[in-house]
Amino acid sequence: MRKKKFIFGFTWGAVAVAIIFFGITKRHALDNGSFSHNRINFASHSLLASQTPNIPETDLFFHLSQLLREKYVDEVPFNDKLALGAIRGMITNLTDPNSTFMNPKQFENFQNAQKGIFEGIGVETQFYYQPEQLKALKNERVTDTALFIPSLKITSTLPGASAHQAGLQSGDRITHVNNRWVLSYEEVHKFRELQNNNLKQNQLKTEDLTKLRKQISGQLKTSLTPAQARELLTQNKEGHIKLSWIRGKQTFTATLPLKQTIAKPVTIVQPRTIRLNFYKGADEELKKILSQFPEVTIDLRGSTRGHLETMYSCLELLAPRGTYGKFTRDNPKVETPLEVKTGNAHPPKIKLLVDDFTQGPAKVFAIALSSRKKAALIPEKGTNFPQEQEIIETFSLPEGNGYTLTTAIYKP
Amino acid sequence: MKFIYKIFTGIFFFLILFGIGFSWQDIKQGHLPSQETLAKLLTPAETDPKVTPTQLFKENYDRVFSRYYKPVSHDKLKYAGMSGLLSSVGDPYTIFLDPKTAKEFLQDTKGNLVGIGALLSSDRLGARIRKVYEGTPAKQSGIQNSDLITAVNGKSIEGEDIFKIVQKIRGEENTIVKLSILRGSSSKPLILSIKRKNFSVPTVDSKYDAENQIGYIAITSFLEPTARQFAQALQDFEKKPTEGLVIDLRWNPGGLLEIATQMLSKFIDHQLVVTMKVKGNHNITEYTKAGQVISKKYPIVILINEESASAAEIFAGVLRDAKLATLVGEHTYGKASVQQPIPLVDGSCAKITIARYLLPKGEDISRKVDQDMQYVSGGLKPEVEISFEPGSDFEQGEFTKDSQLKKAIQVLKSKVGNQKNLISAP
Repeated sequence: MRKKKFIFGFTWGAVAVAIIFFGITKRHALDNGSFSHNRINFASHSLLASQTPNIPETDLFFHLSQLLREKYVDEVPFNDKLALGAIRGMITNLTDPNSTFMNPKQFENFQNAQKGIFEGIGVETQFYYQPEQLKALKNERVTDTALFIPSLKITSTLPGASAHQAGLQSGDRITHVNNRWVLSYEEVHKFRELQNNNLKQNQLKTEDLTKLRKQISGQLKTSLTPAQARELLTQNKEGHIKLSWIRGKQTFTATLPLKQTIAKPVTIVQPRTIRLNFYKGADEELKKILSQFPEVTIDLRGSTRGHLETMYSCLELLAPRGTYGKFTRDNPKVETPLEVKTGNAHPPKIKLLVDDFTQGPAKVFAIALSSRKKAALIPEKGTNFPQEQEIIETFSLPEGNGYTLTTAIYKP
Repeated sequence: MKFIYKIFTGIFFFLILFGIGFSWQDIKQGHLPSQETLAKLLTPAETDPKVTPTQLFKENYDRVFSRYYKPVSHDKLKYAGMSGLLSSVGDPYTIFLDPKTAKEFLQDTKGNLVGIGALLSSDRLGARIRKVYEGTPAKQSGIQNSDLITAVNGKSIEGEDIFKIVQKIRGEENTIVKLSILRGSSSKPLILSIKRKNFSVPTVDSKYDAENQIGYIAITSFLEPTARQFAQALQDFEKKPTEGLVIDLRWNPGGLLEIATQMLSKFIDHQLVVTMKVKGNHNITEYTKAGQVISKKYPIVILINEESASAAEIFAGVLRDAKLATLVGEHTYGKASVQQPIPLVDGSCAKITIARYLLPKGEDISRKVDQDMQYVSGGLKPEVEISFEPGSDFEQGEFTKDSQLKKAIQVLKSKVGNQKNLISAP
């Protein structure tokens, strides 16, 4: 009888434990979705300290998320924000100028621009790195943070936009926005040189040096990063903005209105000269125009945006069947040819105008046609037109975020 | 009837048990599960086909790894992701340290380094010796202040970044580093072979101003050896006719709270240092130790500036709140949070802000900034304000070349005078 009671009690005890355990598993499953995780404790114990086992990335992600939720002083919900932060970290760490993480506003602007819809003063800008900066950035360990600072340059202005009316031109470097200094490697470098020289030659009196230092640190304190400045230039449909810019040795200042500008993929600038941007629909419009021209000059200066797919369709209209260069990757080593499948057996005679700011799909287009002698390339004076172009893909993320990633290099 | 009653009791009992299991991870932390979690339990799982954060991370991790045009190392990508994860809470002090950085960090908090034992400053021609620490290989080999290192192991370091140079000079213990050194106006370099040793960085620098009978102690950070070095300095002053103390906390970024507490125990007997507010409205209090107060009561002036932070602010704030010290200089940084480093088995480390603290009188000194991250308010306010005037001959702690220190001594002397008057008053 006592034995029976014991078994009875034991069974109920076991059921109770099982139910508690079920509760714990259920909670765990709810927090982590279908992902299963062993509850390994990754906190280091002194006994284990000498071992350095590898923790798989998902386990580490989950464990650190849990640590944050348990320890961080404020509530940390286990949501996409944590994953988005991790993705931002990975993209930023590539230190690749073309791979960027974008917040919802930036991503919306980016996607609009790919379609030809612009806000702000209606400009295309570029983060410009000096050749010496690029060389240094290829090194694994960069200790001089100034090397990461690009300068902000105008690559093109849209017809009808306020920048165009104010006389901004491609190649202009933005130095001030709303009276605040825009950081650039050139300026930081110049100030450093100035300080070093003065210290070395003792030309300046102590008070002057102090004054100079104060002036520099004052300017630095209120300065804008190139990314912040770019946002001010390319966001918002109303209000005004005060700009200063440099062209050669000349400086300019003007106050410009902010508005929305819609750019067309194809504009006829002169008889037989068209400006081409690979926004959606460029292929359709190009088709209409081409039938009128036995020869055409295509202006690709300052053309940076648009879609690769649209560019392929345009290539089908202008080039005979064949292969036009290749996309190369190093991870692993792969080469894929750029193929024109049906093509145009009787293409018009083509001239291509390019400059330093012909980038992205436009540059692939120009290299493809000119390297196979299907078009004459006419670079702007002083343009150095290297025969390769990074291929950049766009990926969207939850909550309106997104990023770009360099996935290949195009070469003729 | 009785049977049905039994069944209901049973079901009720099971539900309670399930509830305990379900909320276990919250109960452990002393609160109940959030409504959000409970709501998730009650809505059927099918209505939530969303990918989990872990899946979202994994998907993009794999994409960057396989789609990026250049090879990416698994570890580098993983640790970059973790770094981003910890920054996503929006707190600049919650950071991830990869194994290499974590090792350096842990070594740094111990105040232990392996190298030659000298502080370098950047110079266009190489690296200049700013300070040679006592009892280190550098001292023994006769390296002097303002010597210029032009080459390391026979390779010129001209124009190189100071951090890179330091990395080259540091290394494994008992290995040898060869330095080419220019001294004075000599153009012929001196070649020295120096054996790298483990040494502890002095974090306390003390001086005695015999003319004014004032002891000066500069504390550069609060690391493990600091408390002992500080106690030693106090002991030295007790042997001399010392009337007051200047404690210099300028450019002191803080360090270990327990060390600051130990040092405060020299002046304050078993009293509140800080109240730390951790997750879920819990308070943790830290008290100074009992029975360690030094016998001599000095008037104290503490020098502060915007680069005094964390433990330095606590140290200064507690002595001020206890009416034992006058603060002189510029407002401090305003870092009113406490971090806990959590080492992981792979050698990496998560440094997480676990609490915000209040000074003994309940003051919150947290830094407030505007949209451009510029200082608006926060930190400790000096009672006597004097701004830093950098001259080319400025040298921290030199009585004649440090205008803020001069002011501090002046304030201290007036305090000493007052105290003497008080004592001599009948």
